Amino acid sequence: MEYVPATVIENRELAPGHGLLTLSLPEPQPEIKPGQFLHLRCDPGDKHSLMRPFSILDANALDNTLSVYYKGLGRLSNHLFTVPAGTELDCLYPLGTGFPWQPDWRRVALVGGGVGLAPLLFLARHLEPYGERMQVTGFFGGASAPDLVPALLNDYDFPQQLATMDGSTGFAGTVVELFNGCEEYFDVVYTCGPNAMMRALQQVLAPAVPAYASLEERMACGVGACYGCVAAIKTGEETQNLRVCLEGPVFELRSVVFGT
Amino acid sequence: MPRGITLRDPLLLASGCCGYGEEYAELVDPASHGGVITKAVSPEPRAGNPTPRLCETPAGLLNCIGLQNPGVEAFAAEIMPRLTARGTSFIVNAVGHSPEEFARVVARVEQVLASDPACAPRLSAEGVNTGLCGYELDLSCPNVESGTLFATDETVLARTVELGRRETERLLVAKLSPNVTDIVPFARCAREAGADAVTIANTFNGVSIDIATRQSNLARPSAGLSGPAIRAATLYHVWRCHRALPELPILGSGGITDADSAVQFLLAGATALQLGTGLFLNPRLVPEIQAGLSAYLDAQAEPDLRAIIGTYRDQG
Ligand SMILES: Cc1cc2nc3c(=O)[nH]c(=O)nc-3n(C[C@H](O)[C@H](O)[C@H](O)COP(=O)(O)OP(=O)(O)OC[C@H]3O[C@@H](n4cnc5c(N)ncnc54)[C@H](O)[C@@H]3O)c2cc1C
Ligand SMILES: Cc1cc2nc3c(=O)[nH]c(=O)nc-3n(C[C@H](O)[C@H](O)[C@H](O)COP(=O)(O)O)c2cc1C
Ligand code: FES
Repeated sequence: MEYVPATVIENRELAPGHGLLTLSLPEPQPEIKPGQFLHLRCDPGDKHSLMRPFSILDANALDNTLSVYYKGLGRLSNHLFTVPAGTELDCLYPLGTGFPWQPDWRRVALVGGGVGLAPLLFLARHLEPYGERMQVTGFFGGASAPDLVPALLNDYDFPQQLATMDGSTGFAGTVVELFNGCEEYFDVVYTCGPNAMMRALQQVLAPAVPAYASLEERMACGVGACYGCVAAIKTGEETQNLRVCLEGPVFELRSVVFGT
Repeated sequence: MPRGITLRDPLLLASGCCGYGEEYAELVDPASHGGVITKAVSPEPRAGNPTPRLCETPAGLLNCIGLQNPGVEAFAAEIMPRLTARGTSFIVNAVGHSPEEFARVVARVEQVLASDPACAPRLSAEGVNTGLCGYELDLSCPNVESGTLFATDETVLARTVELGRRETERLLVAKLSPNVTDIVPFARCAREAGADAVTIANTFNGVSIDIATRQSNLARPSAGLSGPAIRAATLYHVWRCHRALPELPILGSGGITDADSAVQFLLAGATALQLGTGLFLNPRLVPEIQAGLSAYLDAQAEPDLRAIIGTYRDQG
């Protein structure tokens, strides 16, 4: 874990309200696993605001860069659109656990939506070198076609099945309705997105398939020190409040007790 | 006779903001600061509140963690042995539903310290007290019997400090609440009941409402406010307390997020400083404040920090 000044080398609007930020980090870059995230000072002039957590979309150890896909959801995520290349943003990374993966998990389903696409896309990229023996399939959902940001998804060539609530692209309905019943074709399912989506997936998923969810909670420290970001997780008979930033953000999907 | 301890540095990591000292160890060199005040420890485990537990406000942070902790038994068995081994100074933040519960936490920790030499505090070669060397009573919570806060009801406050005092010969700090008009009577009461020092203060009560749903932005209708937003108001309490009770050591806590605010707390009369929300804002805070304090002493031609404590020129 490092707290370093990262330099913005590119900040591109992918579509209105969606951005792609590429950061250059001082060497040496620690190993980064898909599912891990960073805590980013979005406005270097604002010393009185907390950093914000963002999933790592991609990391390149050769040139020490990493990228973040962000959506303007509030004050500081919207501020990111105004940050020019060359700006230094303090960044605490890599945080959290990554997605677990085993070599015999070859048929991989990614089920996601919204900003939850980011860690899933990193995982897909990470599994690419395993070649033809890996089959990654994305099931991605949103309210409407623009939510499935073509400028982002078109960069990946694994098969993707899309669902939109208004039917403007792909299947008309939720991504869980689209995925429902498909799990028998997969060795493992990874999911990230709105809690309602992950809860619905938890309910329909057959018990035999391993499944992992990456959760989001509001964060302050990002390192496990404040206990602000907990999720209720079943561990055996017990339910414990575990820290999403430290013990997570990835948990076994079936162990998560989603709030109502 | 008050019991003092010697710390390596006046900067401490505040309770609830640094877990049990381990989470920040990679970022904040444990050998660089004065010590760690642990997360609250209660007699029984507490699950804490549901989420959202956090909500940012302008220059502030509202939290309703709900004192999540594994309880004093797990603390004694699993956490204490790890703490002692690390050469850092620790103060245990104790909490309970009644004065007796606070005392139970202190008594249980004392029992472990007495029976397990591996957990016993040490004196380093430089004369610094390391390991577990004192207690901070978190009095900003409700007493179940009276329904009042420990820190804002003098009778309950006195009894809590007295019962804690009976259980230990080590440093005992009363952590007072800022949610009072005048903090001086409470500080005096804590001292008379046997506290060696007071922490001034804790989070201020606060509310944040989602105007669309008209519900709280947190899992509870109200929460505790920390960060730069409470700095000036906390400093007021420190100043008032130091003027009224100049002999009583004060640990300042509330909105210390840079060297300037650290100096202000010392000038107002604090002898040690606690960093909480400031660490979340800036994990490099400890070395930055230390550098700023040295620069201030040089610029003011002062020999050391002791020389500036309480030197606020409030008479002009
Ligand atoms: C582990 C993790 C990974 C994330 N990955 C990404 C990512 O890859 N891309 C991306 O765009 N966003 C991601 N987020 C969400 C991102 O952190 C929030 O959008 C951001 O913190 C909002 O800050 P703001 O100042 O813009 O919003 P604020 O003005 O603070 O709040 C605006 C709204 O956003 C909500 N919000 C605040 N914090 C969070 C949060 N942590 N999660 C969800 N909603 C929140 C608030 O409740 C409020 O309704 C991630 C969050 C977590 C915890
Ligand atoms: C997330 C969080 C958890 C806290 N938990 C405790 C606690 O368990 N016991 C306690 O006495 N104070 C607790 N506090 C209060 C802090 O120790 C500190 O007194 C307060 O936050 C004001 O200082 P600051 O502005 O530097 O954060 C907590 C504060 C925060 C932000
Ligand atoms: S954000 Fe502080 S514990 Fe997770």
